Amino acid sequence: MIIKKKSIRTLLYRSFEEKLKPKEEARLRRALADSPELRAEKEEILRLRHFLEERDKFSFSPHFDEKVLTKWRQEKECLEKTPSFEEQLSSIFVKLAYIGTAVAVVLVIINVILGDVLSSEEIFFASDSLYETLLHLPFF
Amino acid sequence: MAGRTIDLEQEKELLHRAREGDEEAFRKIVNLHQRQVAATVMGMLGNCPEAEDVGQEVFIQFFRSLDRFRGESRIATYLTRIALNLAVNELRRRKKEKQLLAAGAEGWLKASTDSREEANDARRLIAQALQQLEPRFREVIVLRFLNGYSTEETARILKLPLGTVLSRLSRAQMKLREILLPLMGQEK
Repeated sequence: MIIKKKSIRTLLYRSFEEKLKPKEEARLRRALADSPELRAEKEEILRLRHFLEERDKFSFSPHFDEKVLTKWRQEKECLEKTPSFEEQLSSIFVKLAYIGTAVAVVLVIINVILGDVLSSEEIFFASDSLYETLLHLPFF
Repeated sequence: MAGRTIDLEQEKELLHRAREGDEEAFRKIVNLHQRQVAATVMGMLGNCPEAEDVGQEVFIQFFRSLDRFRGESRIATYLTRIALNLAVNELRRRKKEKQLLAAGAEGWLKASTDSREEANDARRLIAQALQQLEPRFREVIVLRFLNGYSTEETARILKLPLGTVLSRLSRAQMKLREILLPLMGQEK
């Protein structure tokens, strides 16, 4: 009995959404004729659907369009200010080049001042012994 | 269906102008579809302050993706998909927050439905009733009734079999009947 009632209700709800087969339609019609409870349910569902379908009830606050456009303009401005990928890449390379040069200079200075390879005098004044040292290097 | 007040050719023209950066075209898109987006977002989230923020974000995401939008679906359908996704994200965020605060929307709902003034407002009434449905039932009601899509279109948008949509619709209507009908009598 419960299963039968359940399947009739399924038919009832399906009938709102799609055309039933003639057999199903006849079955539903009979059930509706026999059951005041089912007829009441059908009326209530129709009322509910009508109530829900009045969708104009939903809207945002006044000037919603202006709020969206303001937000969109701000985002566009932000995007225009943001450098392109190529610009960002080239800026990274320039920074790397500066950092690399600075590190190299610092290392050379440390090497010259603390190390025993070249004296600061040799670096800055390029003495004769420096040339001699350089000329004895394997490249020459 | 809501939002489809212009034909396909006019829609293509509007899209073309929007891609060129014509601000009036953007405005027209917003005005043509805002009620439909409002129904989707408010149906999913309730009549809350965040609903309008999500609504704005729907259009912003659409404008951002204009170059990728190939017009395979209507603008209305595309906007509905974005609106649903953003609303579901917002629901997830709320769920997390609710878990953290251990104080949820149910209390708020009860309090609001008790107020006669709010119960008389049809929009609030629907939004509140929808909040009592599970999101998977809520989304079919929002698409089918508040947005006016057919069951086939609803199934396509949600990427669900038609049978699933029909069964969810039936169950959601049964539940809404219990919640809404006693309150609908109070509506002016």
